[in-house]
Amino acid sequence: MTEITKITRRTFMATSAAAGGGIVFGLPFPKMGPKFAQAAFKDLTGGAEINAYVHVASDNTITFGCPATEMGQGSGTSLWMMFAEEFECKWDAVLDFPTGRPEYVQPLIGLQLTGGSTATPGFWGVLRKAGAQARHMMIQAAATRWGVDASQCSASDSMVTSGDKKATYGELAAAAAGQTPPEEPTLKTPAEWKIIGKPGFDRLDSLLKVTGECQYSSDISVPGMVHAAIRMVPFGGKILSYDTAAAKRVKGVRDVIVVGAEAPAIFLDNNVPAVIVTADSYWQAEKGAKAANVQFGQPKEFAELDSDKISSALHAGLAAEGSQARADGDYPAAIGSASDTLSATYEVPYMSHSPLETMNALADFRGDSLECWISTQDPGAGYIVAEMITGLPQDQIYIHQTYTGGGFGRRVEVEYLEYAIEASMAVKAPVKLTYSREEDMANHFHRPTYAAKMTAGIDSSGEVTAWQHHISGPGIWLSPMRSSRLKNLFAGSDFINGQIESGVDFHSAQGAKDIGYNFANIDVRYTQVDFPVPIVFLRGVGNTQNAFFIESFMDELADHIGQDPFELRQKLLADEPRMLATLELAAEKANWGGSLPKGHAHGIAFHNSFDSPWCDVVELSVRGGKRVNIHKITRAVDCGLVVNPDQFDAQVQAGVVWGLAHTFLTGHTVKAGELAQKNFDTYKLPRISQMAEYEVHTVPTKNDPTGIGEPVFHTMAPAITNAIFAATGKRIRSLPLNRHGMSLA
Amino acid sequence: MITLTVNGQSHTVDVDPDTPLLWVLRDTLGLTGTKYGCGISECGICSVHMNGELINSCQKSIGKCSGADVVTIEGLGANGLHPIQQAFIDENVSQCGICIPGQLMAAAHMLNSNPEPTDHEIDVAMKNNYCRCGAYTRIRAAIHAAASSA
Repeated sequence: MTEITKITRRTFMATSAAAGGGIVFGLPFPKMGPKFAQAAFKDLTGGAEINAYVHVASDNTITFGCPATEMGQGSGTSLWMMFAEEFECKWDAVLDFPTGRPEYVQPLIGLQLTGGSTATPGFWGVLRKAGAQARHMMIQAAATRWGVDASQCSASDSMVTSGDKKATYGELAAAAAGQTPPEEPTLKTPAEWKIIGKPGFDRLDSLLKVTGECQYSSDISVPGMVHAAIRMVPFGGKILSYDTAAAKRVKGVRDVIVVGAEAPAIFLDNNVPAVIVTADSYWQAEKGAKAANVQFGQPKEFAELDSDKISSALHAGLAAEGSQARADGDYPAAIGSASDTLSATYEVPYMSHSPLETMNALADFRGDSLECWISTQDPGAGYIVAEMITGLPQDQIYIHQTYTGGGFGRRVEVEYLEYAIEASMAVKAPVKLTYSREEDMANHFHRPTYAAKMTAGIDSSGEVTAWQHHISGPGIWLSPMRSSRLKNLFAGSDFINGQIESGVDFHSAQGAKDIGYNFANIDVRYTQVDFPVPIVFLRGVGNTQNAFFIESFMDELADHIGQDPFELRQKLLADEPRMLATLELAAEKANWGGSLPKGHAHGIAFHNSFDSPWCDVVELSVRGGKRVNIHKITRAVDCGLVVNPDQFDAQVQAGVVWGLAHTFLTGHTVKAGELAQKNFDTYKLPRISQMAEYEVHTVPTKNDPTGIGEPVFHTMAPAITNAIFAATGKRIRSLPLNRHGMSLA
Repeated sequence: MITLTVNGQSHTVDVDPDTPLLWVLRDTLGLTGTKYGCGISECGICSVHMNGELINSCQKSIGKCSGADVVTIEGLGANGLHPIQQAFIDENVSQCGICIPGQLMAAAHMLNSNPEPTDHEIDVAMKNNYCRCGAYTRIRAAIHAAASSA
């Protein structure tokens, strides 16, 4: 047996408390950019890199170095639209996802990380400017070659012309690379745009994806590589025993090693202990892992954890005072003097992102260097953990970011990379680690479970004068148990310190504090209740629970005081023009209040997140009190300028499916210290037959782009449950609906 | 030793007979267009054609594939793009893309026997293929487009 690796993990220390960063998740983070500049376009020969984002080959082939991950959301194409608009090039480009240079650091985050709906807003100015600079460099190269002034040259369609002189970008690339670009080139006005905001620009990666040529990290092989399967301990547990001899009796099995933290690891950045079996093929590695018969132990309180205990603890949290997240007016006085009050309690479960490509990584540690391939949203954190584990300087490390088979927030974490690196160091060979679906799901970092108690006070004239939203649940940023590594990367920042001081976890309260509804007295509070189930950001993050809590209660409130649910919201958003316009647009397009076929009912939900107000109106009917038939979803959003109309619609479409999943299907339960659902036989996703018809409308705007990937689905659940109430009189206060015996028709 | 035909080429592989066809395709033959998603026949991203039938390659042991004629995504458009591949491009169906090979194999199999499927027939034929990104509207549109172009 290979010697067990003994890698003592160090807690990340903040490298800088200086606020740089920007506004991801709403608040500034310190800059965590790379300490060196990697060579971009490593695999390309010939031609020249014009700047960090673009390489032009002598045959005129353009490669776009996309600074954002392509995990399906279309950033590869949408970000190219911004660059290409200014570069004046041919549309076709090869997509590449280079890593490790300051230019790829997301300005709104401070790491090379794709999340928080930052790709388009964060690179909006950056890539247009870089495209204009690259164009200027081409023009200067041509002007120098021809001995004319740059003002006598123009560029279009990857060609510079001056009078009867012509040169392609490919011919000019080498000379252009040596030019100094203008610091602040003048950018086109919106009236001059030919690409941005225009339809008809197809995805750049479609051909790769329909032929099977698209390579995810799970598809990469390198010479000498071994395959690896893994068995990770359940929550807070440790490895009790495993049978190396039995594993090695499986043909093809090479090594059985232990990776991860040595101690039971529920704290901070420690990866949980795991047994890895390497073999000549993945199937042999999995068979070996089965044969190893790994036995785990958990502390008693974790081994006995189940969903009932979790739910009880959440509700106990609601009975506590909690920490104040927002206080407007005088809520205690207002609720005390209210002539009528209404209160309701809601709950959402753990939910896994379950991208269809399971977590995996290929690491090749060569003693003095490390090369990795990962499907990830977070190469920035990848470099940091790779340096931490190997002790190599970052300039001896390269991370290839491949196409990513779904992210949705799960791949902000990079623990799979850490395991692969440790394994490669231990077995002294390149290791491709692939999680089985069962391991992926059982050890998933989840959207946390939450409960909320909503309370409103109504005065004698029927006005809602008091609003309280009390959230209880785990803190992604504040939990001492296993949760996002980002909390360690950004330790010491104002963002983290502010949460520690206030006791309010940012994402637990996300979307609860900054509601647009104009109540005179508002009290938002949070009680932190942690469990050992790993947690992280999931698309929409805190809004996924809080939109459900708020919008469900708004509907109950409207019913209670005898107002129309749309009109109540309309009145409360009167001072918020963007939000009001979005609400009214959805209602108008759905013909809210108009007549519907017999048995059909409308439900409405509004939420403002990632600076993109969103409203859904759902029309449905319910058969036998159980079978929900969704007839139409009318969606409206103000996400600022839509850079890529086609991918905007693709995200809206995705939001419908995610909304259906969240509402009807995707909730995890905990049983005897483990996730009860470990594969898609028990954790079901929507199928094509369940797809609902939708239409989407955008509020006319000249504002810069805001978020679209994150806010796409969290209004769906309350719109559906509110419509179910309108159709049946049945209130749904917890998700998913399959636990209420309800299903999609 | 097991001999089978994959995308028109004969291969003899020396692997344990219980190895699923999926892993022979991916690890032995280097045909990584066929994806692993669940290993229990729920997600459909490992779909291939075997002797004209649509199967989940995660469920078919290589020991039962002797003499079989297998077509994977790499062989679907042997003579240029299959109409369903072109339709998926035209409709910009793909998001992350990991399910797309399986979707295409299922759709192509249906179109072989049913060149003009209704929505309901598409739902039935594609019921075993998950798309986690949620491109179902476009998948349906692309299948209709491929049907009308054939």
